[in-house]
Amino acid sequence: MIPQRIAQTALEQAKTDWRQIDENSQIFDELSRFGRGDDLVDCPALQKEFIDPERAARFVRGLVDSLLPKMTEHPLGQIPFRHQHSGGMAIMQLAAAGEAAISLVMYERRGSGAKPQTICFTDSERHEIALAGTGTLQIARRQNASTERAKLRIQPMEIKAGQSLSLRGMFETKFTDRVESRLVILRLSRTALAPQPSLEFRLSDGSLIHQASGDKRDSGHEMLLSLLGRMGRKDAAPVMAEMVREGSDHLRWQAIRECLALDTAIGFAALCEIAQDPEDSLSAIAGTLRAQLIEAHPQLAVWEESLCPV
Amino acid sequence: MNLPSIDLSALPDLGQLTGTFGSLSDLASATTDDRIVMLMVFLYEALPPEALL
Repeated sequence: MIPQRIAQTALEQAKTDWRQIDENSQIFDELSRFGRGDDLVDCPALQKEFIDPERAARFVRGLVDSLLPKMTEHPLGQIPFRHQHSGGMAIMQLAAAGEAAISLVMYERRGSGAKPQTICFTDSERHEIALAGTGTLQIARRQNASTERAKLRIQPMEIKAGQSLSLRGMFETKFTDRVESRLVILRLSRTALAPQPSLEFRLSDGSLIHQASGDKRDSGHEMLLSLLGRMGRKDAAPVMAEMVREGSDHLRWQAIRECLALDTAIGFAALCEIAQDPEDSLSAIAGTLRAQLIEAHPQLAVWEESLCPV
Repeated sequence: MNLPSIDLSALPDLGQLTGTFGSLSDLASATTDDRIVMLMVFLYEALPPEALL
């Protein structure tokens, strides 16, 4: 039996061979630049990949030709790409750089199941080209700026192998409505450098159903805050007080809450600093909380005065 | 000065709550629409495949 490490080495080598194909290495170079914020028009090879069906097919065929024989040879090897398959959709991330990624997406046959009830807008851009299959997409556009009740316009679009589609920003997105047999798409995506929260609206009336952080680092930091809070790590309070100074309002507010619960003195000082800054977007709510805390614990007012002797 | 300890549950949230990155409502069908699908690790990452070489 072939040891796992040899199987894995063979699959990694197949991936490396594919990435080093002349035509592909330029694409990966440009992906790095695109991931750092360059415009797609300044990345001609990468752009062509998502416009020219032959080029896109060659890119994926190169991967299949390089990887599949090795997978047949080493059935226990792990695919050297991040991947998942659930609910009739498979996705494999072929490359990622900075905020950008190239993924291969496959939708299984669908059309008779329950229709989606909501649509989610994310602060990102997607450039796609269909490689195989046909399907019906629904392109959804927000026609007003309200984040509480969106005026949605939904238009169907037939897609088949060779067709391209680009969608950008918080005001347009799509969902896959119907697929005959299967639909395979090559996708280039890039999240905004400072992404706004994702917004999920109900299709029937456009009301906001859910809002989620658009920045995974924000959510990562929020989880770290909670973890340190539950561990009672008082030594983390000064770091939390620093976190109050920058980031999204949501993360900053969570930092204030956790900091106050861990160390009243450090947390209350951070809270007062925000309450006193009229330019701060959290100034009003921080002022309200400060007043409530002083009412419940009058000694905080005395302590605050001792902080800033006039 | 002896300051009171403050209970986290007594501290209010912002008016508009923001869920974790990638979170959805119960009504959502994650596999049909166009949100970015991302496999991610929040706290620590196990050995990536490269480390197995």
